[in-house]
Formats: sequence, structure tokens, C-alpha cells
Amino acid sequence: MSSYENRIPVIQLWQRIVVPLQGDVTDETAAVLVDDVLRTIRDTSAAGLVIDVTGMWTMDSHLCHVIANLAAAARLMGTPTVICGMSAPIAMTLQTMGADFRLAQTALTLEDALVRLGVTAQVTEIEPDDPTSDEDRDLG
Amino acid sequence: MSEQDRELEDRTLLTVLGRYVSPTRAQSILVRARRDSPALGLRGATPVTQLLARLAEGLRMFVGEADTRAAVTELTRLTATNKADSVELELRVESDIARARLAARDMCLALGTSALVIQKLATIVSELARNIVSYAGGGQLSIRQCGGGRRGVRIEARDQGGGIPNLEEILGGRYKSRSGLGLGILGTKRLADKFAIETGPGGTRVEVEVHF
Repeated sequence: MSSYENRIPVIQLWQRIVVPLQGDVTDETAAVLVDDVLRTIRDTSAAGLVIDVTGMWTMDSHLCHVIANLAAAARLMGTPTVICGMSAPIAMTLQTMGADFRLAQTALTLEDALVRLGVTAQVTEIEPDDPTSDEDRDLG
Repeated sequence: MSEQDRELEDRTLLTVLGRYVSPTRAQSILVRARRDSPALGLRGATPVTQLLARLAEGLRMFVGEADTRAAVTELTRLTATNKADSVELELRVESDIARARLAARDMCLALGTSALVIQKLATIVSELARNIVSYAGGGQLSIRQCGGGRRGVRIEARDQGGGIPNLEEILGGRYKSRSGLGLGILGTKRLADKFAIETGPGGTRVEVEVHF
């Protein structure tokens, strides 16, 4: 049952890969994910992998292990991994359990994670959507 | 559905909800919660617990964590004539693990616990359920409120598998497996406020309490 509903998107941007984990990730979804991500890394020669766990409601030791393994495999392929967006309750729970995330870097937000992977953003002001300018043009 | 209706009249629920959000919002939260509860029948918790959990989720969209918890505590008091809610689950396959932790979550939401307690309990249930499914070939898990006036939840996991031969080693933190087993039991012990385990060739029984 590897239908689309339990498939996690693997997003490519600026030669990096972003994987947003969300809701309740079952063992099956996690297994499919590892496959998808590693294939995408190979196919796109990605320079970095971000695993965003902002949308996850819980994380047990098995899922930690899956993510740690994925990070280790990605590293073997030459791609560093950053995990970002961990909520305070999840972080405290994992810390109490003694889970080990040394194989991957961590960052607070998605933005931090991308910066860690060498993506620098250039933010410019968005042109204001001025309805009068169209009118001016019409009149002119 | 009928049992749920008997125990929880819409009017009573709306009165409580109305103290925290506007009447219109209260109405929409209730309608949505009623609609979603039966659809999620595969979750393990009882209908009343599920309804309360959905109400908690709905409230959280409009009011803060503290108000949500206060409201849910009030709602819970309405429902239970001090009849302790409990969940009994039969665990066989991998999808039962997710069902078990969602049941734990619903129960915590219905009890109005903090986000950290929800997290702890869901993780514990997930770990225990995984051990049962992956290593014992199936078993039972029960989640209920602590007895004796103690605010907390009690989880009991039983299986008839072959037992855990190297328990001492695992609990001593000296066991490092490649599969991730070991951290499950040790992690559960570290997260729990009370932890007891009996294991032998006839099976394993783990009892855990988490206090609020």
C-alpha cells in the first residue's frame, strides 16, 4: 500500500533536497521515504539534505533510528544532512530517552538549515501591488 | 454514536465551549468534532475520548494552550461520572503501533494534559507497541488513568513472546544494537515516573506510569 496518501514529498531546490515530515509517520512511510530520498540524491547529485520535522507530532526511537540511518547513508554518498524544526516537547523527550543524533547536524528553522548548507538568500522588497498604476497606464 | 449522545448533550458542550470562544466558533468546533470522530473509527480510543480529543484540537486553533487545557478539563468533568476511561488494544501488525500511539494521544488530549506529557506518553506507547509487534509477534496494550486519585496515566503491555534474555544489559545501558532495540526499553524507563518489567520464556509484561 505505497499509495500517494502516505508518501512524503521530496522537494528539490537550489541543488538541495528538502523533506518535510508531517503528522504521524508510520514505519512503512518512513521506509518508502528513505528509498525516495536516496534515489533523489543520486539522480540529482544534491549538495545537501534538509529533514524538516516541524509538522511531526511525535518521534519514537525507531523513527530517530531511521532518520539517523538516512543521514549516515546520505553522508556516504557525499551529501550532508541537517535536521530542523524540532518542537520543544519532542526535543525534551528524545533528550530524556538518550537518543543520539550526532550523525546529522541540527538547526532551529528551515532557513537556518539551508544557510548551514550554503544557501544564502537575497531578499528584496516585493513591488507593491498598486492598482492605481494600471489605471495610470490606461489613462496615459 | 448513541452512547456518545447520551453522555454529551450538544447544549452542555456548547455552554462550556462558549466560555472560551464565541458562540459561532463553539458551534463550528463542535460540528467538526462530531463529524470527524466517527470517521476515525480505526483509532483505538473510545468515542467519548475521541470527541474530546477533537474538541481539544479545535479549541487549540483559537485559544492558547492553557485555555484549551482548562476547557478540556471542564468538558471531561461533564462526561465522566468519574468512570475512568480506558483503552485496550490488540497489537499484531505494524499499523497497530500507529493506532496505539494515536489512541494515547487522544486520551491525553481528552484529559487536558500538557504537550510534553502527550509526547512522553505517545513515545512510550510507541516503544512498547513496537517491541510487542517486532519481537514478540503480538500482544496486548492497555492505557488507563492511574488509580488512587493520582493524576496520571498507566500503561500495561503484555505479550506471550520469548522474553528479553539480555534485559540487565539493556537496562544498564551497555547494550548497543544496530537495529535500535534497547533504546526502546531504556528510553521508556527514563521517560516513565514508574516502571516495572517482568520477562521470561513465557512472555513479557511492562507496567509504566506517567504522572501529570
